[in-house]
Amino acid sequence: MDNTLNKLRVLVVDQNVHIRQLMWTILQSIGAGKIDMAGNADAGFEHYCANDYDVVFTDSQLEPISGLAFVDLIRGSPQSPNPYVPIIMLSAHSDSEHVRQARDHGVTEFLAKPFTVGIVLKRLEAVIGNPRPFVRTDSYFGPDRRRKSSLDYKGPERRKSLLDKVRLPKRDITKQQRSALAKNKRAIDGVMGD
Amino acid sequence: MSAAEPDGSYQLINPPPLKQRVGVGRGIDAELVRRAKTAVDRIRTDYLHRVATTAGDVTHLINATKKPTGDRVNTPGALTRIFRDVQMQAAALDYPLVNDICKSLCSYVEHLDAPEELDKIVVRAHTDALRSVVNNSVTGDGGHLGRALVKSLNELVDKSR
Repeated sequence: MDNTLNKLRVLVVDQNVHIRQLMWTILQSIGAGKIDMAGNADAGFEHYCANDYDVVFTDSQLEPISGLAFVDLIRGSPQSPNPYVPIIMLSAHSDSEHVRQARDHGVTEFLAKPFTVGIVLKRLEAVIGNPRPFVRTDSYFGPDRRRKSSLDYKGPERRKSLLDKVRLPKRDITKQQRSALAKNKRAIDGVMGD
Repeated sequence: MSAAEPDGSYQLINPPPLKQRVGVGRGIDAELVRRAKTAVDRIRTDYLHRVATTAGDVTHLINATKKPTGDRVNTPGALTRIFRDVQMQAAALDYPLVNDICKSLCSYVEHLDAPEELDKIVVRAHTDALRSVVNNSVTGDGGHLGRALVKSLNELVDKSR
């Protein structure tokens, strides 16, 4: 059987024409059935509302609204036809603060520019092959931000059990420090619902 | 779509799996990656032409800019945009040396305290380096000479700070 993704429908929103050309070349070569391109957030959202996409690639720097605001539109606008679509954010800024912001706005995967062909396909494989459930809270809507699960996890008190393991030998801390640690532990237990 | 019962203050939702809908065959495997790399190789020639044009554009930009203080120009924003533009495709098209040259210049520009501090000599060294890559069709990291080139650019940038 020919191995293609001919049912895959992708939207790429990036201001840089060369990045759009590169993404189009990559997606077309793997047999994506529908590839649409937009050079700004307005055109991107117009495409998004008029079509049904399986994956969206968006740059973090868009006009007239930012890439994060564009993600907010997809996830939260009443006009959005599918708020659950996997979103892969392309960004020249890959420091932890930018990645955290992207995650907190509901971005599914983060792709630092400049990127290689292999990395683009790896991110695509991640959203297709390993989907994450969505979480809705008062302050967040998007893919589950927890990616790792502890092997030690046995029940609802995972964080507490980890805290208990991090105990300094009594001889290495003063009485005052021990008292402060105990106070902190009580406070944390209170927050975590000990 | 299955929506789980709310647990406390959050709700877990499982959208329909994409793989069932779009997947045909083995998914994204080594064969698809090879196919994508081959396709991208075809746009490499165009890219080299663009790098050459960029080097010319930068030279033109610097020459056309009024010099407020001696040998210095006031165009860091434009330079960053031009070099970032070239840098974006460099890694994907297997021109890590171009990537390193652009990264070096962008790092220099971004750490300037004031636009007037931009030194034309540093910019010229980077555009000459780009021209050298194009003229010699250097792919990969350029080997020993490529690494030496990047090292000398980084040293020049350090000295200019």
